[in-house]
Amino acid sequence: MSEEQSPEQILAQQKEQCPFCKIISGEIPATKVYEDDKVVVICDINPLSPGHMLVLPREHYPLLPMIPEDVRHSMFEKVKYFSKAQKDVVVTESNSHFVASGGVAGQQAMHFLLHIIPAENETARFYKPPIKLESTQYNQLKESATKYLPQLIAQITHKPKKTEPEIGTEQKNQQKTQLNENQTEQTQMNTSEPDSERKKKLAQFIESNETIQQILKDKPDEFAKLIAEREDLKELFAGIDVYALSHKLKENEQSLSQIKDETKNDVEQQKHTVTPEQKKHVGSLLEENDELRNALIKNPDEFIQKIKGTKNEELFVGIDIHTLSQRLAEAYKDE
Amino acid sequence: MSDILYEDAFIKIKGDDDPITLGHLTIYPTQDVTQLEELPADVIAYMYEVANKCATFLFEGLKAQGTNIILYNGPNTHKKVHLAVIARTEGDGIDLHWQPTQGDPAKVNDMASKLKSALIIGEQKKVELKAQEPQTQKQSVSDNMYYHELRRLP
Repeated sequence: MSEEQSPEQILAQQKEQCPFCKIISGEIPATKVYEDDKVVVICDINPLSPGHMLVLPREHYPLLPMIPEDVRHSMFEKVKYFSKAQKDVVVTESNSHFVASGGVAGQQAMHFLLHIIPAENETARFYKPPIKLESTQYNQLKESATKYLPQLIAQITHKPKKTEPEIGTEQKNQQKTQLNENQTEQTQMNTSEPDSERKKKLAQFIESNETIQQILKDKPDEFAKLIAEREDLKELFAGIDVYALSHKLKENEQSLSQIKDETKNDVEQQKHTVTPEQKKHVGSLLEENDELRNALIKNPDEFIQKIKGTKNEELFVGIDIHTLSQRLAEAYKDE
Repeated sequence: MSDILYEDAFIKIKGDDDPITLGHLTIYPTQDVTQLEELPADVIAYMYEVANKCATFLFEGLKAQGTNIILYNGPNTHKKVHLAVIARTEGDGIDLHWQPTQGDPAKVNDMASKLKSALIIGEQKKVELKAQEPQTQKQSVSDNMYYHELRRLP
């Protein structure tokens, strides 16, 4: 590369010679494992350990800061899934992600690469003996970092959306409780302060009763009326903004369905996914079998006990019995 | 050595307790996790974005000639998930790279097809992700200050 060339010329020349651009275009055959309009993932032909993946931007960018932020964001947002897939396939709990920027850092390709390397043993740990920093050196670093890092980070436009931790489906009940507690905290301001004891009771009450959850979520108006009518509810919901709570529950459901989407590949999850065929079966069964239908409308909890151990139990797997009971009650209320 | 240099709702940045060079920063997610996959995808993306800004700081503020970004994910690498951003200079005596040795093509192909099928979920996810993305910002190549680094690349 001669010094007289413009950056554009250097880049064009680099791109022409770049083996990774040729892999992306298909000119050089490679083992692509994922691709979209911004990102391509391939298996390294010289793996540090089996399953070693390379994440590349589709366009030619030699260094990380040269990649436009939305491309970077799109690439790094998917890292979770690449990393998860590798852990599942290689059957390991650990991997290391590695980026080298610049020749002195060991960058060997002209195309930006993110290595994802299974870390089953020492090979991909990247540990080196620490050095001793002089306190003056450290103080200088601290001073300039505290000054410049906030300015640089403020430039980031893609900020994470939610502050609630995303957790596995097995912990979703825990999350519900947590969210319910947050709701009550948020609603304290406008009215009398609910004490923590009552907050806990309220969270438990909502969590344990799916019908209450449903009404609260879908018909906050009706629920407010219900509270006014019933002394026990009035006491429990004193100082609580029902509409805010309803909104929170809806949001909570959305985030839960998001988690469900993300774990779709989980066999356990697939087993409980209600198929259209299953719905059809359940529908015709309830239409034909008056006794079963009436039992379901009358008491969904008893119904669950009733079908336990029978061949119908399998048919109702994954179906929300309480919601179904409500819907049927509405549909058959004239009979 | 463990002063917090920056903190927000999602991450905190510290000087590494066992620095391997002058300018070894560590980014921790606010939520302590041992597996990266426990974090929301947008928080992971944000950690990397912040790592990029840390690298910019090391280039500009510490006159680093290169940087390494390493994410430690899982118990074989570290107790807690974190990202390290390490300033590199000529002759710092650190060799983080490895000697490429060719893998058995059959094994690589086999691994690739397994990974591909494991990533079907990723492709479904793609549709959702794409809808949220803004248009690519048009940026002139010469405007980007990193292009003076081009001549240093191999």
